[in-house]
Amino acid sequence: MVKSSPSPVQATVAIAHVTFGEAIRDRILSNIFLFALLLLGVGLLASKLSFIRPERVMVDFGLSAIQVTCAMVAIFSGAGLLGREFERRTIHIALSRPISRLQFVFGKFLGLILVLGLNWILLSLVFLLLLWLSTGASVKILIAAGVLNSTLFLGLFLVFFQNILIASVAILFSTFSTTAVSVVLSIGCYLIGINVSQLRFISAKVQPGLASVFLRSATHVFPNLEYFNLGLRVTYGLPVGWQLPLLAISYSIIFTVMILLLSGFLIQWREV
Amino acid sequence: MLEVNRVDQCFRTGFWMRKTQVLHDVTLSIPKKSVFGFLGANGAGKTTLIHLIVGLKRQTRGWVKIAGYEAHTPQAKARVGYLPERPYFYEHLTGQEFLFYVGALSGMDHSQVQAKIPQIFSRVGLSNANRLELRRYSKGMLQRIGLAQAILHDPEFLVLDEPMSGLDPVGRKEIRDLLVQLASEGKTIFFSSHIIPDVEAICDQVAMIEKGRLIGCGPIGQFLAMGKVQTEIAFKGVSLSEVEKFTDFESIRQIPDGIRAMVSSQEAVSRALALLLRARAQILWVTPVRPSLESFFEKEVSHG
Repeated sequence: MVKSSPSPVQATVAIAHVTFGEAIRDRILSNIFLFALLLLGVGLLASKLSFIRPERVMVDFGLSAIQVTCAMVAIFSGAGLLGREFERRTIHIALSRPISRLQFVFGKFLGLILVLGLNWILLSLVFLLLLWLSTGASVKILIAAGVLNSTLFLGLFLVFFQNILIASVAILFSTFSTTAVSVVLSIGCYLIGINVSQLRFISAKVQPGLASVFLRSATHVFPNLEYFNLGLRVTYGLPVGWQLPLLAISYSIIFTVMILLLSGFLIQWREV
Repeated sequence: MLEVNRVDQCFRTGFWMRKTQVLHDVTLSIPKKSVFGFLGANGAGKTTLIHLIVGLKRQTRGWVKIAGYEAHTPQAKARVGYLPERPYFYEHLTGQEFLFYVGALSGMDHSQVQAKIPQIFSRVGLSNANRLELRRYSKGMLQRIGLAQAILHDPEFLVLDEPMSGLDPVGRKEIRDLLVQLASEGKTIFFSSHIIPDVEAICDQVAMIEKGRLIGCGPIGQFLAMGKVQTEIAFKGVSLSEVEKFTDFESIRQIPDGIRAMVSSQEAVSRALALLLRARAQILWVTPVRPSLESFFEKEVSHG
């Protein structure tokens, strides 16, 4: 008789593997991917209509498209990740085995990260291909002209860490709500996260009172996704020091770990 | 193997989170190597108790222990093989991939699962379906793969929630035979069922639950001994009006071959046979009818 419990790594990897397999078959994921390709295609078209520096249009359009669609994948896949397990009762088999609910959450999260990583790599490759097509120049020329620069790659890299954070938030919501509610809450959280500086600005402008306190609190409680947006520095290829990416990556990792631990705690109370 | 002691289970339901008690002071114990049948109507609390046993839920009061360990601990879970009531599995996985998944969750490495797959699939009658996606499985096949994952890690205690549901008569017989075989290998089996004859056929202990309360628990023989043993006598060559004069017959029914009558005591059987022979009746058969678990269950439920 096998009486041993699985090692944390073994169980997590097994759950991640199944989650990845399930998520990549999800129709919503392929629809978002097609939507992303469409947006990138529109970016290419827009760049062709521009007379001055068409590559900047492509970079701006392409990076925004990747940011938005990757966030959509993180939200739509993450929000249903645990809720679906409870609704379909597929979690029963896993939780009747000698694994903890926290391990299950980590496994699901790891599987989701693999999906996000694959989606991010594919979209980034398509983006770079379209960027190359929009200019019609060779890679060497693009590098020499500063179109392909370290800031651009850093911008793409930070999109991935932003996704990790968004996915963990979506998982957190899915520990205590249905898929639909988790999607709504995650989108709300995303919209607040990418507009933190505007919220700070508004909170400073409004009359001191409940609204001001609420807005200021929101900027502290919700994850600040502006750390992952290099904005015009990517468009103009301006150099970025090492401090900013280090801060963004650390922020993503710390916030994600905290949210996952909280998810692991909350899921203990959910009825199967 | 299993001890359930004074267990209550409550849920909070509805907008106002009203407390609903679904199990009331449930106590039972299952000795090692026994086959334990758990009977109850829909909504009686069978699945709730099973969820407590396999550690999916925590009881509000009391305790549930498996081999001395609290049911929600890894030590207890490692000893249990669980088949859910309606097996919900990841549809994109093949039968084989699914077993690799549950094997990993039970601490088995890839080679251990690989070595067991042919034997497990053949045991549950799915030899040709190991590479088929679970979405293509029929209900009966899902039940079988559910049983396969429950026995994969060779647990000493099997908890099966309605293992025979969704199976055709041949399938039911095969699963029944498999359970008997597993019991003979020394496994302790706890299974719930609506199908009372299945429980009667293979269990040596039973418990009955109604509205969250145990209404009976113990060796199956104890329940069967509580009922009245009757004898059925079938005969021909005597008219119905003549037979109706015999006071020992509790019920009389005409059949194409003759008449079937029920008598309740051994003395009444002797008297009835003597009277029939005197009336020159031809006896077709004399069969003792033992009380069934079903009749006991029906009686308890109607009294409850």
